[in-house]
Amino acid sequence: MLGRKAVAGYLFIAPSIAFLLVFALIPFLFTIYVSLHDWNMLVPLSRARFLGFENYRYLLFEDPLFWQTFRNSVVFALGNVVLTMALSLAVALLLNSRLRLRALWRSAFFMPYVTSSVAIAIVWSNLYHPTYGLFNGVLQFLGLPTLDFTNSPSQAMPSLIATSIWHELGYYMIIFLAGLQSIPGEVYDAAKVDGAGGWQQFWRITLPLLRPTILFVAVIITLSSLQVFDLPFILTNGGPVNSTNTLVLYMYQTAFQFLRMGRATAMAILLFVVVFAMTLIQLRLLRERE
Amino acid sequence: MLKALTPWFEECARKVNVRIVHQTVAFDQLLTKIMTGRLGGQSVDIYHFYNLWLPDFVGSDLLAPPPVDVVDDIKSSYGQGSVEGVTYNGQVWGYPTEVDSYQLIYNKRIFDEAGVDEVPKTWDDVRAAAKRCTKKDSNGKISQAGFMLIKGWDSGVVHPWLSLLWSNGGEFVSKDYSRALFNQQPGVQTLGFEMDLINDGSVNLGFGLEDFVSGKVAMTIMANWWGASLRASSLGIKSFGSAPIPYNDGHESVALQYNWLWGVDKNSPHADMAWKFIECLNSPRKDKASPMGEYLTTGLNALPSRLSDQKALANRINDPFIKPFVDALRNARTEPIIPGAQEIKTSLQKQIEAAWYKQKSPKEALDTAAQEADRILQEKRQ
Amino acid sequence: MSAQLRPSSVFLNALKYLVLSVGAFLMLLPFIWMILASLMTSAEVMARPLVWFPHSPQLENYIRLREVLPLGRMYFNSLFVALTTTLGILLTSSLSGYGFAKFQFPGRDLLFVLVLATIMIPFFVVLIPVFYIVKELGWVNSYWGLIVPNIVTAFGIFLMRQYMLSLPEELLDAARIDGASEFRIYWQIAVPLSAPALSALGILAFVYQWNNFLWPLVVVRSSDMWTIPLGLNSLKVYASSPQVINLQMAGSALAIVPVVLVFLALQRYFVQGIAMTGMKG
Repeated sequence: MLGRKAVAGYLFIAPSIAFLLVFALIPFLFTIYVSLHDWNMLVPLSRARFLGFENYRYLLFEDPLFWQTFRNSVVFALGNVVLTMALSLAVALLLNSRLRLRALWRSAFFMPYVTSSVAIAIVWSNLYHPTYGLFNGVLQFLGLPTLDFTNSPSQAMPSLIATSIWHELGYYMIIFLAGLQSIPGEVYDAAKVDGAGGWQQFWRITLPLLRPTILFVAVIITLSSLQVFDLPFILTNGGPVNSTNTLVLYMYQTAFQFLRMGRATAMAILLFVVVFAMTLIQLRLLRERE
Repeated sequence: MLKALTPWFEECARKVNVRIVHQTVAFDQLLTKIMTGRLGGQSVDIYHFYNLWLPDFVGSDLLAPPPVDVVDDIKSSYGQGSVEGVTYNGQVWGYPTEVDSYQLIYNKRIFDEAGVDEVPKTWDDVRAAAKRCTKKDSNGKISQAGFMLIKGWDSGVVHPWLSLLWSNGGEFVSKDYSRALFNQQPGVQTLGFEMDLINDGSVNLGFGLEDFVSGKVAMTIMANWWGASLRASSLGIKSFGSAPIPYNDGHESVALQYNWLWGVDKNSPHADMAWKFIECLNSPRKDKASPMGEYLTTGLNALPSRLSDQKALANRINDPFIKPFVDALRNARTEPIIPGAQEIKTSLQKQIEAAWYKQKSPKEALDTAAQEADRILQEKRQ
Repeated sequence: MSAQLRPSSVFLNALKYLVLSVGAFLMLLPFIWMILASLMTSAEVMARPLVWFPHSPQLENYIRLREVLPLGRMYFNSLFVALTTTLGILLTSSLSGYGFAKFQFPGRDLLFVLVLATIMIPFFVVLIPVFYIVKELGWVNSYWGLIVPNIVTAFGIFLMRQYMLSLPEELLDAARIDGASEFRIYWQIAVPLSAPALSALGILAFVYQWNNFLWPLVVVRSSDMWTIPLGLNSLKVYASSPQVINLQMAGSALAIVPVVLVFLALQRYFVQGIAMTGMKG
């Protein structure tokens, strides 16, 4: 028979387990189920037409938009990972020293993160406005040609990435700072005694010791970038010409504008597979290093 | 805005002896709201919706067919285009309310300045006028555009394009709704006309509606409800004019129109009261306008589709800017109400935009959109 | 060892401050412009060459905003939902974290792995079914619908469990000997001892809930249930006149400024919280 403590253990975790069952596990199975049907939510699920793998076949082999949005999500993720990491690491390095007004700098870089992505997207869509935006206003002021930003298929994705970097930089900067500060000072002192210069210290000591943090950050940025919705939804609504249409945005449109729940859930499963695979790969890399 | 309708809601509710509870929903949420309202068994009796959604609603058994006397009233009191606009599968589904049409909208001051004396009528006229009205800044970027192509949302791109297509003798889909026809010669020519404007250098694709309103563009094709923005602009409504859709030589000017309508839920336990309520809202009061008519023309800058309303409210809709839109209704065609219309429209929008941005040739773009459309049409027929 | 001031290090230092200043300015520029533009007339916003400062601050932009948005309602909804959800998250995470950390029972590790597995299920995968469930429960467009689906997060459970592993068993056992019930031990010993982790989790959860957009977008159907992001979203009108730019900026300012002030006051905890989650990862 279970002891009193064991029963208590079950009771403590029971509410959460029940919740996760209802709001995570069962919906997950439900998503898979719906993805095998054609369902528009206007009719009861029992009347939905069974399609087998038709939704998947269409998305993977016939729908150009699926691959385009997939590519867009990947490009967005890549741009984010590389640039956000580099910049946030750079700022963290700068802040990781005796500095006056350190809290001030830190606040300035971190502030964008606490603000809502909707508010940010609205501000930035106005900054980017080709005729009335601040950026083009400054360019004109300097006598330079103006840019189209979110109005041009070629400039929209870089603009989106730029906004995203600005938004998230501070968060990763803090993580890197914590990582940097956990490197004991003696290591650097020893290196200085050996005659290592600043640059060498960075490559030989800082980077290797920071590897777990770097990988951790890379994983999070990738995962969240692949799932991005708010920013493209408000800033560009996927345009122009689907140049900033991401997978989750396309999924939302498919579900709530075209009423194709089956296809939307199939998309969700496909993206889940990608996300899951990426996480596993990166976790393995992490484990190897340790 | 719906506040203005409330007194009439209450009046008609009293007449029919029902209690009305109403909800306003923003347009981009409306379709989802209706669809999810059904799901949870939340009963909504009456819907006010965009007629493009008829095929989905009818196909999902959402709507109740109106009683015969209501259908007769609708057929006799509304214009041909509007009746067509609320008909699907041979059945009339509700009272048309707001009707919107498209016209060529132009900036009078720019025309005067550039010496454009006559409002352009044909496509060639438009091209010539657009060239004259375009100005560039020192960096070669267009600071004042001859023509604006609206982009970014489906109706903004497709409605003007369809109007131009029809004004070139083209067709959107086959009569039996089985395949797309918009990628045939007339369609390619229509997109070609828009490409001509772009290649002439008369179009700045970076411009949006705000730029027209602030006086940076000479011409565009847009709907009557936009008059509200023009009215509120610093230039004032008198700086703008409207004229028939430009046609290609040898054809007629045809504008696109679309409707909103009142319909009743199929499972509504109060169906006949619902219909009486709607009928009351849409019927004229003693030779004057109906409540809906009043509501639509005050501040909404919308056009009433009921013929008696158009007469009764003539002074309101005779304003020089609005009048051409009303006249156009006589020869207007309703946006095709076909299953999957929303998807086809979005796909067509993206392809047209791709052509504008020179990612594809007009023929390629339209063929791709037509393939998509055919696939959707075939699928929905099952 | 004394540090010697070499000219090049003075130069490097100055460079560091310069780079930081430029960086900080660029980070803050959008906020600055947002506030300035919110106080301009639409003519000033659209003026070319660029107008940097409003001639006279147009506070009426903010007043006009009240006619377009149900501001009070929006703030209340955001605050109520975020607070309640956060409290719920703290409660459920600490309860489960404690259970997993301090108790032995059959299947414990398997269940924990399952909990972790749900972290791998991104929200968008379950968006549609969860919406369907919420619909069937009649919770669409209600506080229930906004709060309940967010009230448990596997990440929170993971965080609290990690932290609680390090709570001293002796303290807990001593309380048991004294005859305290398991729940009392949890509530009066484990929870207070976990304050750092709880505050970290709490801050992160609050910020996330406050800024949450996709779920409210799907669940909310009328403007009286708008949270702040939803209200702002409605400002994004596509058939707009230029007059709207300064209004949009005013709206964004109203959404951003309070959060920034709270952040500035509590920054130390923010930073601690993020650092803590970073280390645990």
